[in-house]
Amino acid sequence: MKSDLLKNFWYLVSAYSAVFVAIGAFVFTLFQKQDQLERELDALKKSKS
Amino acid sequence: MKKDALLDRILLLATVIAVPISLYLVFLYAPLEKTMGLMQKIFYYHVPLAWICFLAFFVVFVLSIRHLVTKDIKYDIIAHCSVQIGVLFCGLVLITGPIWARPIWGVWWSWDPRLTTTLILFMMYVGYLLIDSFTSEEVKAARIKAVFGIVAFMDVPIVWYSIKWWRTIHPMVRDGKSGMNISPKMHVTLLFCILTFTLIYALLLRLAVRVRTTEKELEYLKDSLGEEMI
Amino acid sequence: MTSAFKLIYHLVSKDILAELRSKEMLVSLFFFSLMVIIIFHFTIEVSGVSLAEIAAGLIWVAFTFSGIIGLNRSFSSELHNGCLQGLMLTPMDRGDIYIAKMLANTIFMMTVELMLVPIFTFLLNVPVLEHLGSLALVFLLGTWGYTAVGTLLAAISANTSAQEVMLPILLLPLIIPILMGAVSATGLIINSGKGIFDADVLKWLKLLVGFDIIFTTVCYLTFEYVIEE
Repeated sequence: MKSDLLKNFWYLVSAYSAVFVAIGAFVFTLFQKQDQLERELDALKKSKS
Repeated sequence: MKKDALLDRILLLATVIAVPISLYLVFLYAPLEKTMGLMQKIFYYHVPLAWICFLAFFVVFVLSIRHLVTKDIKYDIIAHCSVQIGVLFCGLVLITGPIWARPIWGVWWSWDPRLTTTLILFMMYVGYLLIDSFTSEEVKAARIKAVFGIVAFMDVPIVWYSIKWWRTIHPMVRDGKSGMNISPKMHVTLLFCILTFTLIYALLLRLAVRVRTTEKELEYLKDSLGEEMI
Repeated sequence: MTSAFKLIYHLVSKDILAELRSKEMLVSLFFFSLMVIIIFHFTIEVSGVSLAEIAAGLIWVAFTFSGIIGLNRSFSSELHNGCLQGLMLTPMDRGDIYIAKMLANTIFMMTVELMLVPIFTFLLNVPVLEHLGSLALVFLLGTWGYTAVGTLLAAISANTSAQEVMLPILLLPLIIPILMGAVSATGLIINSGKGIFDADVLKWLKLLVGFDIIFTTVCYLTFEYVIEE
């Protein structure tokens, strides 16, 4: 019975981790992209002036 | 601009506070359910993910109509980001659902109406994102995505009902989440988690829209510079 | 109003005449469907499932996949020859172009389907020929819904660089209700010998009709946004 509970615990943990990892990864890529885009934008604006 | 930034901060703060509270409610406040035990707790994230995913696609539906009517690209930008988040949440429903089902019913997948409709939803809106990848002209892409966003959403209830009808004729043993006893504490937890995910959706949407807007800005700048050089 | 009907009639006849001359679409769709059945024998039947049992599903698989080919071709010729721009110059409501295309596609698909009926009876040993009347109605309602959505999505896919691949990706999830309704009704007719006035069959027919009406309307209204420049 205890091993059952333990096994279920790992299922539970993996489900919740999946949610956090996925959303976290999404947020991370958004911030990364934003940084990269802003750098490119700045560079372009400087070269224009 | 200042009001925008303030709104963003409030949203971020609210979300950052809500998430740990939701976890506390799920693991420490909500009681252990009788029939499913520990596994039932996936429900508190699985269900809100499904609801908010549906909300995201409804937002796409509304914005798509507005885009076709006003031809304003801003609606396409927000709609596209909402699709991205919707697809993300959809994918998570499809991951957490089977993780729940496996220990409870012994199978990863049963073609039950809810999960099956979610799978089809996932396919539909991945298609939406692919339209964007494969269409070169931006204005055209926005328009046809809007049309697709409308047509796809209208199909969702029909897909849901057709699967449900079929299932009432050919029931399978492991249908639905029936067999769960819900106490008031569980209700509170569920509602709070729905609120949490709504906040997460709003936050992600603002972040994604910011990225896409900047992307467009960069493109326009590049285009106009290219024209000047010619 | 009558001029709209006339224009639609002309457009549909143009497509049909073009096809009657070359016959390439009808012939290729017919042989493609035949090939699907043969492949199913060598895969499904070989793995132990009797095809006669899944005949209803098999029939609609054949229709679905050959339908995709047909839909793709219905727009590829327009685009490659600049016909679409020509059409848009006519004083025709854009939605009517959609209706015309949809009707032409439906007629093509139904023709192929009816040509396949004897093949199904012959290869699958199912009483398809016997229930032809009821089946024809089911085929019509199912095909109509399929082409209603398919014509719009073919126009959308034609705008992308991956036209042939986009159409099935976009279309197949959307027509799930059509498949469920059509396969269920077809199955009830050929397996249990029920007629179209049977309560169970009627239920599925209602789903098909509902789908057909809703999506013809929505696609009619949104078609112009897909083809305008």
